[in-house]
Amino acid sequence: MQTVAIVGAGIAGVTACRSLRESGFSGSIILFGDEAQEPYDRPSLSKSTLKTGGPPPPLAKPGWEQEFDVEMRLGERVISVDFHARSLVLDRQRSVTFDKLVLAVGARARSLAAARSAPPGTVHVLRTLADSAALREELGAGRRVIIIGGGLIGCELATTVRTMGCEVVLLESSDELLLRVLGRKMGAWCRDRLTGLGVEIHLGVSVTSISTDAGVRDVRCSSGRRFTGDVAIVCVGAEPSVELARDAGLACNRGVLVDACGRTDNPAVFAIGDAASWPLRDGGQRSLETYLNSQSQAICAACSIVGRAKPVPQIPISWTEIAGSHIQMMGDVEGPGAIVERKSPEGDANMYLRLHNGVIQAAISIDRAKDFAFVTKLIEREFEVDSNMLADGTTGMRDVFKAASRADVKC
Amino acid sequence: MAFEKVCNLEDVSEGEALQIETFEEAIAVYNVGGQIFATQDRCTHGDWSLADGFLEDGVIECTLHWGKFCVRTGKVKAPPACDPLTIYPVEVRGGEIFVDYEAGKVGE
Repeated sequence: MQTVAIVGAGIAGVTACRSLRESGFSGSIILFGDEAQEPYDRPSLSKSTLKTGGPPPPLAKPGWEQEFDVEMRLGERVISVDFHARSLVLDRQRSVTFDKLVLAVGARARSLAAARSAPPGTVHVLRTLADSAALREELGAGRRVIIIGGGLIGCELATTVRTMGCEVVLLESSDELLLRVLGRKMGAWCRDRLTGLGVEIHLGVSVTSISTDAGVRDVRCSSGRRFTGDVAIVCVGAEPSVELARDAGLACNRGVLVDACGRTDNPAVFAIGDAASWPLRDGGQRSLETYLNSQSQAICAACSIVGRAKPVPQIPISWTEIAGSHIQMMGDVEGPGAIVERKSPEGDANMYLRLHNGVIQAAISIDRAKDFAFVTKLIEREFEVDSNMLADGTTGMRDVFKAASRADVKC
Repeated sequence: MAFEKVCNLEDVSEGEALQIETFEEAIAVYNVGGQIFATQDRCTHGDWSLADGFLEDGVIECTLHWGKFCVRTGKVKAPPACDPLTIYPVEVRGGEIFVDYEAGKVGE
């Protein structure tokens, strides 16, 4: 009987288990997770879980491991992989053999040089339930919180922490928030909204040291500016965890390199989720670090394992909640073509679409989930759209989609 | 067993979904190739209307986090949703759609 070992019990690992069974895999599945908790939903850690202190939503129903016949090994860390023996080494005495291995080990919070030299306990990061719980312990009305990094997690945290009654100072080293994921226009929009919420934002500040004196966090910047607060959080992105793969000799480059079926350069080994550098539909490859791409990669790798490999080059897709708005994005907003702005009848832009050769390549939507659902299909299917219809905020995207799919059938 | 009229057949064209708010909990009515189905409108994963979703081949995709459900059986077709939808008996008579809200039951 074949054994598939999956290392990592986040959305990628858990989805891989389910997909293997749904694809008819009848061998044994062993799922390793280094956290002791039942698999949980990570996106809530910066939002509802932090705010309420309640448990994060589970990734699967209680009893799912029986239903899907998965051996869960939670709280167990895999320390190395021996490809020759096809085994995972757990410690000096124990190892587990496999026929196929899926690395779904995720990513860790990137650290900042200034934070590395700070005394232990000075700064928080946010990646796990334990991180979220530890941060929550220190929050409360009137506490002054310094958030270093104005990317997605930084802006989500600024929103949540501010609505918990804390004073929030958000420091970003570049000249706009969210530049990498949402681009300049949306970055400025989010900055306005966060400022409206009462978040104090400083752009172009580069943190050089973080120290603590009698409980007060002291954050110093290269410009000589200094910020003090009760809590400091560093949110400067994530690093794919590649150690297991790299130490075992797999090719890695900011992520374990895989083909569009999830295969690494060892035919018995697959990588999915944040740890995988996966080919993109529009060229290149990278680690995407999103929930939905992790799911898609897990399903794809499961198909490869059961012998029904079908390449699934990825289109980045994710969502965020900032300053009370639900923002969804697909594709890379930077790229060839022109940006079409869709406006509400009141004149507020609620969608930015990058149109190239009549096809939508990327989109960002603000509180327009219903319209965005149709945009995702237009991007996936590469239907040609009418740019005037697209820009006209009074035409629903459902109608744009229908017109485009009719036109597509005709040719 | 009490079927109540919720809307006219022409209110839900093929491939569309419609939110109905006449009962205690909102329901969604779907037209799949001329066949009508009804489920709870609220996604079991997050607080979001499924009638706002993308309906294709009898599967509704929630637009919040892209969970998917079979509208005929309520079964989860894609995570992050874990729990099935409540489904309701439907009758179509003389161009009108009737739903028995009390007879709703949790799907597979």
